[in-house]
Amino acid sequence: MGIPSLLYMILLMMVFGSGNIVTLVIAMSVTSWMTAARSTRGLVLSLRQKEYVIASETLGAGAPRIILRHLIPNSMGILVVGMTMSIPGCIFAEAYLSFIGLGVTPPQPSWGQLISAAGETFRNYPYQFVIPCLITGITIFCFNVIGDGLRDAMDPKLHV
Amino acid sequence: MNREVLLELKDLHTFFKVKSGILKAVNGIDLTIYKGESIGLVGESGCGKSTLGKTIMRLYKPQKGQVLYKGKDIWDFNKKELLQYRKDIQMIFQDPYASFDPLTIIGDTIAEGMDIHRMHQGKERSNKILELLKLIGLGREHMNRFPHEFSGGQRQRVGIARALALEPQLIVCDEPISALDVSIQAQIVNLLNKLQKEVGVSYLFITHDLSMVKQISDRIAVMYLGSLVEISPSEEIYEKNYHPYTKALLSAIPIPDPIIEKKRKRIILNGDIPSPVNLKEECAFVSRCPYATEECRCKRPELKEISPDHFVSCFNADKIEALENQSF
Amino acid sequence: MEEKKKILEIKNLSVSFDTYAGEVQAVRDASWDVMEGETVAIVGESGCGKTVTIQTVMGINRTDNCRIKSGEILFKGDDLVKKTRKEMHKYQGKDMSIIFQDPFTYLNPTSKVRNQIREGYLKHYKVSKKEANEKVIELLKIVNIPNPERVAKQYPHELSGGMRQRVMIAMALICNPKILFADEPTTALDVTVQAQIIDLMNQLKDDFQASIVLITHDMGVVANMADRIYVMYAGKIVEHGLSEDIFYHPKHPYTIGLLQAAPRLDQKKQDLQYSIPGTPPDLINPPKGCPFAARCPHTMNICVEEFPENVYFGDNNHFAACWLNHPACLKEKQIGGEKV
Repeated sequence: MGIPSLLYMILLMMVFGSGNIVTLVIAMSVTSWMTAARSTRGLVLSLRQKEYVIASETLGAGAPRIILRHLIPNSMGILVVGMTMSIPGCIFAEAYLSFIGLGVTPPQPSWGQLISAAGETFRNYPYQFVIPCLITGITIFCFNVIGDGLRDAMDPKLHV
Repeated sequence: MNREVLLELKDLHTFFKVKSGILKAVNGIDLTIYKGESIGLVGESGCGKSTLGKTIMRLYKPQKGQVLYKGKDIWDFNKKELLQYRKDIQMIFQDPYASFDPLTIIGDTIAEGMDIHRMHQGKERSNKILELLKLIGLGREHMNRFPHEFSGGQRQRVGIARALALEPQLIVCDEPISALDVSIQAQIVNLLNKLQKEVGVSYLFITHDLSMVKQISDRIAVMYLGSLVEISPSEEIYEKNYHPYTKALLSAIPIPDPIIEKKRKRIILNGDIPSPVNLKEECAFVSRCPYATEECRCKRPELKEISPDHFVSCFNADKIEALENQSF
Repeated sequence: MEEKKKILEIKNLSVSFDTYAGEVQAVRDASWDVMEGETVAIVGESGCGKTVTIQTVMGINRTDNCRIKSGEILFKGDDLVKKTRKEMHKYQGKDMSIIFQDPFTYLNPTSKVRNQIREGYLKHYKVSKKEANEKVIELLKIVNIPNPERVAKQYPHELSGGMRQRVMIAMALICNPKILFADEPTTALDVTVQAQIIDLMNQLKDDFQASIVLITHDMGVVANMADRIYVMYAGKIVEHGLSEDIFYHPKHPYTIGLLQAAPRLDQKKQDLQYSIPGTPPDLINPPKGCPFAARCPHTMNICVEEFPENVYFGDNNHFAACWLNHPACLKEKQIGGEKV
């Protein structure tokens, strides 16, 4: 966990050999599951201390009930949001890896690849660079907004 | 008086390991709770009263001593007995904001206990929920609402309903009114009293508010640094008190009456409440007691009956009483 | 007895907050004053406007959404309403200071006690750090903190609640203010510590020849500290009088209710602890008449229509805003000093 994930991904892609979308997905999953697991663990540990969980315990609830009825619903909101927020990170990572040639290779297209390829023709055809960058940026932005919206939707306190 | 014993605490010790040593939150407590009575457990912050409540609820395991329910130590229960215990002994929590799942409607929150113990199903369940809502002064329209739609006082009532749903024998109330506005506190206390008359449940009312606790208790137990220093019938405690800490505590409580306040002699204790970490084998109050003697520094006193139903744990209680009577 | 000088005079102050839900009229047409060397208490339930009032006087709530709608705040003759935020800085900590309810959240956890206490002193007076440190030790001794040299170098989390409150008091007194505002100073403290702090504040008030404005809902603390009492409800001042007048001859039903609801250690166990039924009114749409009309056991038709005029009793400026005391009404109903 001490190695920065992008570096790790680069190493993995070098080992797997780049070009395949499947290996890219595997590499990203291997590097990012630890963060997700760690934040989930922290979240659940703090939820377990909450007074309503203790209240359930005093009512006689067993562990399965507490997990299903209280811990999972209350952590879902944050986890789903975390998930949507991490999608932009993955998009960016893919773009970056493809840009440096370690992601998917032609003929399989990807935005990162487009940006990478456009680098050479930038002086004559700048739109080949600008448009993929713009689209990537807007998509990342949209996922962030979805994440925000999901968080608001999942919080009952905001349903006035 | 022939009273049925509900719960018996015998030489209870609950410790926690902290960085600087051992925190003796509950340091040798003996207490008997009888059926149908209300005991007020009072003390200032850090005295261990909340820990005692949670130990009784089987949330903390004591290092030494027993909590006897129907003659058996609650830590020796099998699964069935434990489930029964969880039904018979309930708790109301201090924080009306944190003690409810924000994603569960309060109808389901109230019924959670009933569901766990499979008490009522279907139509009967809804009826029971409505009955409980009515008992606490809420109505059908509140059943499907979320906790955040209620005020602190209303939530605390929901907490009472949740506890009552299981038809318990004893409800441990852990500072149930401290987080509420003064005007709401009285409403909750009145509700608890009314419910006791109707349902016959016992209370262990844990609080730091000695003025309010009188209104809800038959007996008052004063706690200091993990030990019980005095147990007294609640009507007596203001006039008849024996332990130096009880005296200081009572004299410190302001009375809303300027003329009486001017006449009162205040016992000001020196310093702050000592730390409950690494307590020694001595009377808990010795560091601040104006009457401390050598004996107080070497041994821990035990609760002794000094007048009918009135117990105090102090080596010098008689001498102090004599001194006070002399000065009149 | 010589005439006491008035050092703070609030005239018809109205303060509102602009929120998404509308204008919250937190303080409505409130008038009160403070003389030299006395303790004035402002009592009422939470939400009645007492905290907003003193925050406005101190000038610490001058934010975008908080408006002083009207009124004057006269401190030694200057109208503080007209001062800008920067100009108010000159008064804060020097002429008037404030201590808050929870000493833990109001002290900087990353700053040593000494640095926090001397901050105001360094700001208002041109002194060296060494002189300021000496002053800090002096103050710590005055507030009865043992081992002041050691405590000065400690951090707030190393101190107990009572000690932290004393540190706040030291911070408030270091520049010799004329007025000390105390917002629920003992509510978060243990009872035995509360008694110590009450005694300390009473003694320091005399030593420093300052005045104290005490905000609280605890009538026991008020009985121990206040010379005069203002009773506030829903942003309005509904009764005022000397401590003895308010406790023994209350004239407003709300005051009577507050006193009856206050649990007393020396009273016998009752079947029903008294509590004022209902809840305070919405401050976004405050009622046009008396704000207490909805909860008052003696409401008359006029109470709902018009806010009552002040009716005065005796010589000591004891007044209550209640139609029941109006001469025209006295023939039919009466509220005496006895509890109704």
